Amino acid sequence: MKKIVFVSLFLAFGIQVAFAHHNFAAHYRTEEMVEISGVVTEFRFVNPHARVYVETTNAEGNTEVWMVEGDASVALRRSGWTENQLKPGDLVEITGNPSRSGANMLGWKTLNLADGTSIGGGSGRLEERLRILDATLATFREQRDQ
Amino acid sequence: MTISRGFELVATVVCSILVLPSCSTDDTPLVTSNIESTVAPIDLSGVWSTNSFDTLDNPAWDIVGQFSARLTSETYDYLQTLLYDPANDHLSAAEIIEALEDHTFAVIDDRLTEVGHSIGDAFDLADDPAIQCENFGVFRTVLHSDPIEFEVLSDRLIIRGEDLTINRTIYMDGRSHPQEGIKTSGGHSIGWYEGSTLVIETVDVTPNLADDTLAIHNSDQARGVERYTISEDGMSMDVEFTIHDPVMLIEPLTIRRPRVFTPDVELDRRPCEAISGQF
Repeated sequence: MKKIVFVSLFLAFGIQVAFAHHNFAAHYRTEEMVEISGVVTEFRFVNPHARVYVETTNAEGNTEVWMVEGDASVALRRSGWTENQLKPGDLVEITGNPSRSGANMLGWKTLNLADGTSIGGGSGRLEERLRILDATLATFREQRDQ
Repeated sequence: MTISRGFELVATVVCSILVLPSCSTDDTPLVTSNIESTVAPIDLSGVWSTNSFDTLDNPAWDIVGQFSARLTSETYDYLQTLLYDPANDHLSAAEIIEALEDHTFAVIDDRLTEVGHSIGDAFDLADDPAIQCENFGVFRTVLHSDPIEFEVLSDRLIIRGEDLTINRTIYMDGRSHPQEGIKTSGGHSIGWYEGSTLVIETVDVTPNLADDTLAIHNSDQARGVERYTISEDGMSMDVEFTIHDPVMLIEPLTIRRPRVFTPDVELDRRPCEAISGQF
């Protein structure tokens, strides 16, 4: 299933540039966000970007396969990701930027498992990074004013 | 013909031969006369990382470093204001990053010559050679976000990186650049020390995409100057990269990107296996 979503975390769409490994705007509409849900058919832990293939069912009831491209595999590996991070059969919900070409591809931003667990891994790791930076910022401001 | 090839012709022919007024003049002399010492007063050996997600918890980062990613030197100063002026305390991390990106792009926009603008405007990111797994040029290698490793030898430095970066040789034996050097994507680099700062100067580069995220291109007239300054405790370094390019830039442009010492990190040189953006 695919739907257009609005994710408050990414209201500032442009900020995905700074920390990105390569610029996803080459292939993806970074000002738009959609969500797909489906079943993982393949996880490829390759350079330059990890990719997940997901089988979904569209509004007409037909099966579609999507390719979802995430952060650099080398960066994910350093964060503990392995070739088995996702397995065929895993149910996933993914939000990301749709492709410029109209092909069934996403530059992923968030990736949740069926139990709701967010495993992140998107371009620039923005979702995880902002959580850390907001906490650091709060501590910094508190100490700065003492 | 690819965009990059077209850009090469435009940059070379328009500015190097016709010398149009839209190309600025860079009278800044090569800085080799400032060489203080080629003997290492500091030990750079090892792996140094930018603020990639997996290094964010490194104790060597201060808050400025955690927010610093490909900022112009002017934007780096702006970041201090955003962080230290309580009037900005309503800003979230996302809003600060967005403000930094806007500021950086505004600085770059003001800095580009007409040629720099026209080449930037004509470039489509989808034509980035890296998408086809082609190696970066030297300027993009310098600005890339992956860890780098310094190997210090008696007469030269070797700098290795990851992804599509190129391995670099920096001559530290006091030599000058060749008089009629052959232009290559890696250029010719010499280095020296100024106090606790390593300075590297690179010339003889071919026209290239200098940074995809900042949309900066360099011409074959460009010269790069890197300054690596180690902190007193040896755990972090301030990195400044200044591009002098009379074809693309009205004035030199400096990008700052600090790094921290990460001895536990091993470089990963797995090959590029998939073309980005293709099913």
